[in-house]
Order: sequence, then structure tokens, then C-alpha cells
Amino acid sequence: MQPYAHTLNATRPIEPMTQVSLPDPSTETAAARDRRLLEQVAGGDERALSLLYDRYSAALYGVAYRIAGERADAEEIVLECFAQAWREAARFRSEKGSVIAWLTVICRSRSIDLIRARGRRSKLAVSAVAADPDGVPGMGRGGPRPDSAVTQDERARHVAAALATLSEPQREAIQLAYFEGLSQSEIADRLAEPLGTIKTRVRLAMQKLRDALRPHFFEATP
Amino acid sequence: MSAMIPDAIRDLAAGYALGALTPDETRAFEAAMKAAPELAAEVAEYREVNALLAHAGATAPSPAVKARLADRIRREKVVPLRAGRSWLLPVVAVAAAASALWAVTLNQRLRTATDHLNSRDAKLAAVEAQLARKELTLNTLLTAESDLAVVQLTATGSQSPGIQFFWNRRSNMGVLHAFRLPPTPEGKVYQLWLLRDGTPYPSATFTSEADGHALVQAFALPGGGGDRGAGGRVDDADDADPAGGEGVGLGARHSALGARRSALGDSTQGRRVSVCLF
Repeated sequence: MQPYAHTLNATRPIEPMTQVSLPDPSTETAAARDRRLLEQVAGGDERALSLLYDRYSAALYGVAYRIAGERADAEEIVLECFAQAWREAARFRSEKGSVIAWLTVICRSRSIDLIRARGRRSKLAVSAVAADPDGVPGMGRGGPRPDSAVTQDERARHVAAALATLSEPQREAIQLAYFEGLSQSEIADRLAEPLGTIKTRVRLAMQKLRDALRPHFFEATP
Repeated sequence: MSAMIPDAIRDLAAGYALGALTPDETRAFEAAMKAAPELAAEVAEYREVNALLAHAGATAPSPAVKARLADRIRREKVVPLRAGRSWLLPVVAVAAAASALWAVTLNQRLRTATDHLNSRDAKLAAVEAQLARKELTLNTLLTAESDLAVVQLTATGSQSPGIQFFWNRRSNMGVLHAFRLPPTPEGKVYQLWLLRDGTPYPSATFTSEADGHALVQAFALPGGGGDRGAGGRVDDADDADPAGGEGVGLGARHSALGARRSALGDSTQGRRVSVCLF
């Protein structure tokens, strides 16, 4: 310790430097961090895009895979999703939600566009619903996780708990809308139920999920 | 404000966030959302739900996807859009300013070019007019043939002004060449006066060259009267004594001009060249 103390004593006084404001990792929220990264992406920062990819590619791939039903398609969707984020990062508006919510909208839109374009539905999701009506594929049971991050598991548990509050018809309706990209009319046709019933079911299910998951939102909504 | 939103519209919010509405429903909801921010806030909440649902089923894609993404954004050289406070905005602003400056510069250049062309046009018109006058002068001299009278009006003294008066009696046009004319004062000109049958007629104005020469190209002569000869005089128009002073009499065959000078008065400024036709 003595040599170090000697060194410190011999060091000239620290000269004042230009003060730079850097986010404090310990206090910066996930949403704020994502916004900062996306802002850097908008500035052409490939490393920021890489970090966002590491953070959210698994979630997006899970959604894409369950909607598209093909790994190759899902990978292509994820690729296109981040490429679009790279091009259009400046269009992101935080008042409309979190970065991952924005990416999820892009991912789902591309996935649904794909399956509608090829005129088929995800065989994987349909068969899974038929085989295990009590389970909801992709909602907490989507196979291997990209990493063992605690936050990832925590989110999965929160989602699973929220899903548990839904009735089976509600979960089924959400499943068909979320992972198969069916409109409420199509769900009504698929399930042979009145359209009004399906609308109510979807609305109530989403309200339940919202109320249960609000404390865990990425972005505090206004 | 919420009370203003029909339940039928509000009930579409969840379906909208899921993308589960029909196209007509989507249009109706988006129209309502523009007028009701709380609907947008509700949709934002449902989209957070969607994001969490996505996390619940997360599965890692192949590592090759990330490599392809990196290659993709470099190969395509995608230039991302910048946010409002980004570097692109100043670039766009500079580009816009440069465009505006360029437009202004272009406009100035166009205006300058137009002015230049107009100036050229004016000069060309002046040259054309000058050529026309010279042609008329030449015709006055050449077409007269035997009707051309050349009158030399000279004063006594070798340094006194002199006048050559070319008179086309056929067309009654004249050309006057004066020499050894005193320089005109600044801002003043010579004026040619024609006297015929005792009546003065104002004619062309002109200035002399530095060497004292002046050419008054073809000009019309007053009609009637005799056509036997001509006399002339050069003097100051503002001379207090028109009959005398510094006026220089040009005697040809007659000296009648002096008697007629008083009829000219002092109406002209500068110097006066008078030619008397008789």
C-alpha cells in the first residue's frame, strides 16, 4: 500500500476537466437505456444495434417463429426487423411505448404479412393448440431461452402468472390473434363463435393482462 | 373526454394493438385515435403487454443471423434516419440552406443574365439604329445624283469652324459635316437650326468629337422656298447679344444669315449651328 500511497501523494492535483454527463447504469431504467441505444442506432452506431439485438432478438425470434412456423422464415423476419430498426430508428416515438414494444410491432407485422402472403397459417401453433389445449405455445413455454438472465426469467414468470388469470377461451383467443395474426372475425369463424363474443373475449383478456403486467412494463405509459 | 369516445370504438383498442381488426375497423379506430389521445395511451399499454408476451416465448435465433445483420447493414450502406437532435438535421438544414442559397444564386445569375441580354439587346438596337441612320445618310448622298448640292461654309481664319452641307434637293434631305467646332460645355450640346424663308426650324442636336468634327446624319429639311444656296453660323445660344459676340459667321455665297440670327432667340442651350437655306 505504501508505494501506492507514495504515488498518489506525488501525483499532481487533478485538473478540472470538461464535465460529461453519462448515464448511471445503476439508476438508468431499461426503457431509458433502450431509448439511448436506439438514439445511437439512429446516429449510425452499429454497436448500439448489436446491443439491442443481443437484448431482444430472442424475444422477437420467438414471436416470429411461432407466427411463421419456419425457422428460416423466423430468422429472416428477425433480420428484417432489425434492419428496419436500423433504418428507421429516428421514427421511434417514446410517447408511444417502449423500444421493445416498437420492435414487437414491427416483428409481428412482418410475420403476419409473411403468413398472409403465403396463404397459410403457422402449423406449429395450430397443432400445439390442438394437442395441448391447456397450454399456450410461446407464452412461457417457447423452448430454450437465449440466455439465463434473471430479468428474462422474471418476465416469463410474470407473464405466466398473468396468463394464468385468463380463462381458457380468453387465452385461446389471444393465442390466435397474437401468434396467428387472425382478425377477430377470423377467430370467430375459426372457433364458430359470434363475432361480438370474440371481441369481448379479446378485450377482456387484454385488459386482464394489462392490469396484471402493468408493474412490469418496459415503459411507463402515460 | 373519455365519455366522448363511444364504447364501440374504445372496445377496439385491444384488437387494434393486436392487429386483429378488419381494415374498416382499423381505419375507424385510427381516425378516433387522432382525436382522442387517451385511446393512443391505451393502445400503448396493450403494446407493452405484447412486448412482454414476446419475452415469455423467447428463443435464441442462430448466431448466423446477427452476422448476416451486420453484413447487411454494411453491404447495403444503410444510412439511418436521424432523430430530431441528430447530426442529420443540421446536414439537412445545411443542405436546405445550400439549396436556398443555390436557388438565390441561380436567381441572381438568371437576373444578371437577363439584364445582360437586355443590355445586349439595347446595344444591338442602338447599333442597328446607327447603321440605319448611316445607310440613310449614304442614300442621301448617293441617290441625289445631279440633285446633290454640296455647300462649303467656311469662316475666315484657318482655325475657325467650317461646315460641309450636303443637300439632296430631290428628297429634301441634308447631311451636315462640321469641323473645328469648339468643344461644347459640360452638359450642353449643339443644335442645328435651319432657316428657310425667314423661319427658323429646330433640327438635330449633336456633340462634336474631340478633334472638333461632328456629323449630323440625314435629316429632313423644311420644305418650300428656294433651293439656290445655304449659309451657316456657329455661335453661343445663350449669347447675350445674338447678333454679335463670339458668333462665327460662315459665309458662302450669301451673308444673309447674320440678319436672320435674331429670329433664333435664345431658346436653345449650348451652341448653335444655323444653316440658312435660300
